[in-house]
Amino acid sequence: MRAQAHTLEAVAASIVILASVVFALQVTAVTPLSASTASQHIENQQQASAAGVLDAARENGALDAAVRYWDETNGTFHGTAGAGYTTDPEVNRTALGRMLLDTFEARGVAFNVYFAYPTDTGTLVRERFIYRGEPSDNAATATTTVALYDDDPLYDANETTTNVTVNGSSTYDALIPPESSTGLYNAVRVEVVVWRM
Amino acid sequence: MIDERGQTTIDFAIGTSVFLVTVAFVVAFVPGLFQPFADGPQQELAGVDRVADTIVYDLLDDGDGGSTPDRRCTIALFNDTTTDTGCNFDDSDPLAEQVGLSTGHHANVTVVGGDPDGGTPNPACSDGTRIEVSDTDDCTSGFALDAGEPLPSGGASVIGRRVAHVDGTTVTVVVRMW
Repeated sequence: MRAQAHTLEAVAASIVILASVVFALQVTAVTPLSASTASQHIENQQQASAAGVLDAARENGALDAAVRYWDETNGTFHGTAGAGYTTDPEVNRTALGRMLLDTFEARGVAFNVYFAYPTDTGTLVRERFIYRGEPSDNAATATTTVALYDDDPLYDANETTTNVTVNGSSTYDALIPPESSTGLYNAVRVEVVVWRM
Repeated sequence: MIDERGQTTIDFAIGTSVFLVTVAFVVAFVPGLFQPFADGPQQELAGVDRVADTIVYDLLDDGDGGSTPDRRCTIALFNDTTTDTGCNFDDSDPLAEQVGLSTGHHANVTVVGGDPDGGTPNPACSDGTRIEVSDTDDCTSGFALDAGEPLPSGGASVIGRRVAHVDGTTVTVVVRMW
């Protein structure tokens, strides 16, 4: 009987070893989206790319045009009922949207753009400019700040300046309200959130 | 009594081999679980970020600290001549030396633009004075903006990307290290 007992013992020991391996695999859920140096690296790259797009947009004027791409008559961004641009043709309306699409779309990276401004109580209000969906947990954010002056002109649908200034507009305060009366209208924080689709 | 003892030696052999096979399986299987994380160019992962930042924000900087490289310095970095241009790098040095890599690390830089059709990015080209993104997959005139060692055909490399605005064009600077 002792030999048969050894056989059972060996099988039992094997089961214990296998069970511990299975347990170890289950408690450490390693999936392609798990945090690792590699995914951290990708987030860094996306963040740096988004910051680069913002720098480039500031340089070529696309950032100003986006912040002041305002339909004075309807009180919305040009060609939208509100709540920002979602589809490709809508995003392509502005130079900033085109730059983001050129940079990120081919790589399978989605992006949102928000305009945020501080209120009197110090809280930050975010308005959607481009909204392509809910960012994932691994999203990266790049921000830059644009100063709006009272006499900065609004842009028309073709991104050329109009005669209406941000302070003279009767509807622009629906997007960004004036913060001071000293010539500086408000400071707008442009946030770009990017994530892998 | 003899009948009750059964086939002692064979039972024992089966038991032992079942156990040994399991142990051998676990020993062979577990290292494979960690291999994707242990292998690969881990050092380059950290290095490529620094190299990309160095190129865009230091070597090619036009003085404002943003990702808006100086057109003249960008052309000087990627052209084949070695005339000194007063930029933040010594034009006669190879790229690895310009970005401060030690021996054993290799780097390659390519400047590409977005393809409006959404395909693979087209190279950025220069005729020596201007920089523009090619409409096709290669440069019809002038030279392509790339520098460093040619990519090895096999083996892993790490990619870092920076978006920059140079000479009125938005380009992506792609840095590869291995």
